[in-house]
Amino acid sequence: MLCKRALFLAFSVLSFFVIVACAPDNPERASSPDGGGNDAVNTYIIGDEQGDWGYPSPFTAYPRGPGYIRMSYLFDNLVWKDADGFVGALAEEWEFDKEELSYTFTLREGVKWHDGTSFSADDVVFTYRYLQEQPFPWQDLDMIDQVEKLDSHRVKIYLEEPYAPFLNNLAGVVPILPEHIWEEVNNPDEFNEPEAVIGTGPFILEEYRRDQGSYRYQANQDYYLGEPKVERLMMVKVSDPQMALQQGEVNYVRVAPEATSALEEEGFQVLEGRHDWCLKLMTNHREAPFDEQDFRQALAYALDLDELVERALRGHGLPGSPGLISPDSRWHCDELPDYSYDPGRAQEKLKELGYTLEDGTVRDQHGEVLSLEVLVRADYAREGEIVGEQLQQLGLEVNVRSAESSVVDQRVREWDFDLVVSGHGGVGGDPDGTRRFMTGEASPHNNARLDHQELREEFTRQTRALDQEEREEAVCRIQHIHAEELPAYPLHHPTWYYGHDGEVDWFFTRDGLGSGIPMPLNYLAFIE
Amino acid sequence: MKKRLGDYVLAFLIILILNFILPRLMPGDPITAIYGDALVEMSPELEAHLLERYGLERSLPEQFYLYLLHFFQGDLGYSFYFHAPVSHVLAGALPWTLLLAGVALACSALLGIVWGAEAGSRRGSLFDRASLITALFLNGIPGFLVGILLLLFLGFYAGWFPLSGAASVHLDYTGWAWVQDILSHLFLPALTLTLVQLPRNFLLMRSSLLGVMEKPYVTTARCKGIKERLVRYRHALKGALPPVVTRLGMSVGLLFTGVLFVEVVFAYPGMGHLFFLALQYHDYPVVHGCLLVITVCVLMFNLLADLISIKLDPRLKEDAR
Amino acid sequence: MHVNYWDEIKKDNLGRTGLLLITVLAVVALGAPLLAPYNPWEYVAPSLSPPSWGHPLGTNDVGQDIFSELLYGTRTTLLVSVTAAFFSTLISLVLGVVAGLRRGLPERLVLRLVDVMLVIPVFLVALLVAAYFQPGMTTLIVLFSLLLWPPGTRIIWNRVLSLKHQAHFTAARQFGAGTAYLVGRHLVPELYPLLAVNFIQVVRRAVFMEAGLAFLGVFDPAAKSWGLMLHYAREFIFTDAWQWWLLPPGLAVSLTIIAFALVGYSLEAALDPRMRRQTYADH
Repeated sequence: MLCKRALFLAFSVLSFFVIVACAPDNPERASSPDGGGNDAVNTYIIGDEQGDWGYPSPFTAYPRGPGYIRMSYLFDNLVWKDADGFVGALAEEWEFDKEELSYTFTLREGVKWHDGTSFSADDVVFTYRYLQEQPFPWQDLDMIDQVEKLDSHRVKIYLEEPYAPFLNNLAGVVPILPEHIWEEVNNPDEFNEPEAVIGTGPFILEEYRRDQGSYRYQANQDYYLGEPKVERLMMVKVSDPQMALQQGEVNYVRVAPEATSALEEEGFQVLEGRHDWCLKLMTNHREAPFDEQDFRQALAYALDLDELVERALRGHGLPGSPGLISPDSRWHCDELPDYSYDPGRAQEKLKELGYTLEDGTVRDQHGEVLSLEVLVRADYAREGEIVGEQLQQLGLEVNVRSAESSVVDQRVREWDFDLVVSGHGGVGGDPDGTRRFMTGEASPHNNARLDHQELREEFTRQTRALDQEEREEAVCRIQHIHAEELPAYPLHHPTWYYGHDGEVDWFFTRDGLGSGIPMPLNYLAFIE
Repeated sequence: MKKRLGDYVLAFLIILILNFILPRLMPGDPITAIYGDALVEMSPELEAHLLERYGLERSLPEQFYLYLLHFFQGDLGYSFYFHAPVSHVLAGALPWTLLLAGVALACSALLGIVWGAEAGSRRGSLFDRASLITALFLNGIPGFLVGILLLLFLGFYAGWFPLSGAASVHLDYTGWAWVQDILSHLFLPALTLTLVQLPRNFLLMRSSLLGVMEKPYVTTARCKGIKERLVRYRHALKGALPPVVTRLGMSVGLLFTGVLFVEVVFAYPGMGHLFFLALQYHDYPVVHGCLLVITVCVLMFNLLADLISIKLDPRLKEDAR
Repeated sequence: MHVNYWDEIKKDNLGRTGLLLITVLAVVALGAPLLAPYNPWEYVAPSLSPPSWGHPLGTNDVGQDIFSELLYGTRTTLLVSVTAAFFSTLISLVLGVVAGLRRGLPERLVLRLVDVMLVIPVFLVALLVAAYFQPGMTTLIVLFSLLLWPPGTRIIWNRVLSLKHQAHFTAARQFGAGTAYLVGRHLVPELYPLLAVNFIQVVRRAVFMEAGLAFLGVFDPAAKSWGLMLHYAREFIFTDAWQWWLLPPGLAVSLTIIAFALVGYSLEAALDPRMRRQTYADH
């Protein structure tokens, strides 16, 4: 009977599923000794919502924080950082010569590449030369004049100009490549061979699955700083971070703020991140009415940032610092102008500019209602609405418009906007990186593009200031100028949280990992 | 048959063109969309290098010509976002979708046909009425809601099944254990998709069977004294199946819609998930590639369904559809 | 022989339920400003608060009242789907009649187009277009109207073919009636039931597609839509919030689709003798 047969088939298929799927063997527990079958390996699993950040060679890893981190576990730089400052990586010692503008690095001896070849000064010289020729996504090596090999374990790097963040942005970021592998490679961003991930780092790549968004690393037992605490490290994709952590699918993952109390109750540890990200209100200060500094300041007084943090972030964040640099960065200047919510002050400023307030609406000298458009990407729609609401309370007519990100970027680039709510990271690391958010033409969609002589001069000064105090002074001045001019008004800095099970003692690197990545995933946490 | 093939080819061409035009109507270039938020500043050399490699500075007709040329050479382009040839990216995702869709299609078709036949042949009975109501209600619940609820209850609260992905990557499963692992990840998505497709198949089968029951040859068979059960299953069913199979083929497009939602809800790394991800990141080549492959799959399923139904009912060969 | 379809539906239990539900929805949609306790765009209470007397469904992640959002969402859903269904049915009617009356090239073109479009995965195309144009309600209405007309067209065409041979039609033609008259007086009235069924089915599909697109995040973020509520609620699924934030809009979407499905089914059943062959069961 066709029907009976079909029924039987259907039932058997179903029961097959049920039997198989509810099998007792569902050990998704991370780092447990009985991991399903043939391994009793000590494994640590890091969860990530995106999963895939590219093949972890220096050229194919995606040019974002997580991409860099995955690469940093395989490749060492000359220097690295821990919570307090610089520590030696491939270089044991370094010396700076002020007159020559040169750094002399004494390299570690006895270091081997993952394939067994010995590491030497030739590799360093090769790397710096190679990266000046090939387009390297992480750093611009223009300020390097030349690299000289002094002997088999000493290298000297000459700079063209004084560059204060050299150690932080270059020596501490540029991964050293094995000459014997890369000297033949002409298209490094298409080099996907296994040789491309051979470095000197604490881990060796075992498997990378792009479709799964997963990485599997094996500990490098010969690592010169000591063998890593875990035998195997994995980075996998998770769709719901909180659930994954609670179910034991991962040991560590970034979690939503609302999950933190529940996680802490269950015995997990939650790290509160440093603030590196900033949401800001960009103004079109090349056109009226935003070309008046007093008008921009009036807008600032009209915005209640505490309410914004309360509503948009549910309290998990800090009000924006008007100097842009993050409030918990060590470069933050403490005495900046205060734009605390003061609608009276805002009204005053508007009056001084010639605007009048008639039955609740602001009008200009010609009696026309002042109408503004706030443009946002869909991600920031909530904040955009709150900003719109608050400005409306001042008496302005505000129209909040949400558009696709490339549309927003385009309009900002062409100065075809009134106000834009957008955000970016990079405000918690080395201050040299904040230049592209304040002035110049780079990264136009995040850049306030303020044309200010003194600002530019101060930026140049802090780049060249080899004396820490002088540099701090210049950075403070920069924040002051930004806070007074307000080409863009920083709205808030969200707090990021990281949940983990306590197996590894994570910490935050000073000024961020590498050139400023705010995550606690420093590989040193696995060592000793 | 020839006409059907012609339709398929035409449909394919339309998608091809749509694919190309749409993303390019958007202002802004993909470079900014992807690298715009990069931690590091994009040097002008790097940007020029990327523009050149992706051919974005050429004129639109030139790009289209290149697009067609590459397509017929089997080169689907290079993905901005995944830094790999599109064909590689698709090849990684396609098997999972085929697995998911195939399993769900088979299960829902089988179950739907059986259920529909049972209900249809007992028209008016309690079983039939209850089935009908259940099917109509189940049909109205959107797939993504079913998926989320199953994820919550069976995945999170009960902990019986993993919450996402197609396989556990951190554990080295081989042989039977590997199969088990894949199946346990497949279970919830496949169950969701099956539940979504099931009512439709049920209704199809039921109404087709009802239609057939009135046909002369069924009445003749009854009059001949053949047992009711045989009449139902052998004679009526055979007549009722072909249109159902054809319609099943036609509803493959809807199947892929369901696949998209299920893959997004369960983060199942198939074509639907890839399509959605690529859309978010403006990765044009991957978006094109996905839509093309999905369309080809849909067309092929349709063709297959047509062939099967012709086998079942040779009269359909000449049917002007 | 004209069956009174309205009565048929009302007699049938399923049809009655469907009509009741639709009436409730329509009332809610029209009366939302009166029925909703708060303005759903305003921040009225602390975020993510569970249900209480003042807020029967609690608040969402930005402190808006979920119950009010739910009520206003009815408007979005019904507005988009009903309008889209109207235009889509109109297109189906026009094309179906043209194809049926003018044999030859127009018919072939239309039918070819229908067959081709039936094969294309409609939702994926909608997703592609919508994602790039970040749509509001108008864009969606236009998009849906342009994508959902094929199934109905074929059925109408089929019906027109058989209507053409009916006595009253041929007689009128013999007497020299003009095309407009023929269409207006002899075709369209016969087509009402079909058009009604088509309308209902398109509404069903449009509701699903609108909810689906919004769920994926492809919608005007300021609008109140059930799919969008689901989208935001999904991010907080690890808390208990899903009970009052995720379930209600999910149920609302389901009930809306079911309501129209019930009425549609009941109507089809009433038309059963004539519509045995081609049904909407497959869409």
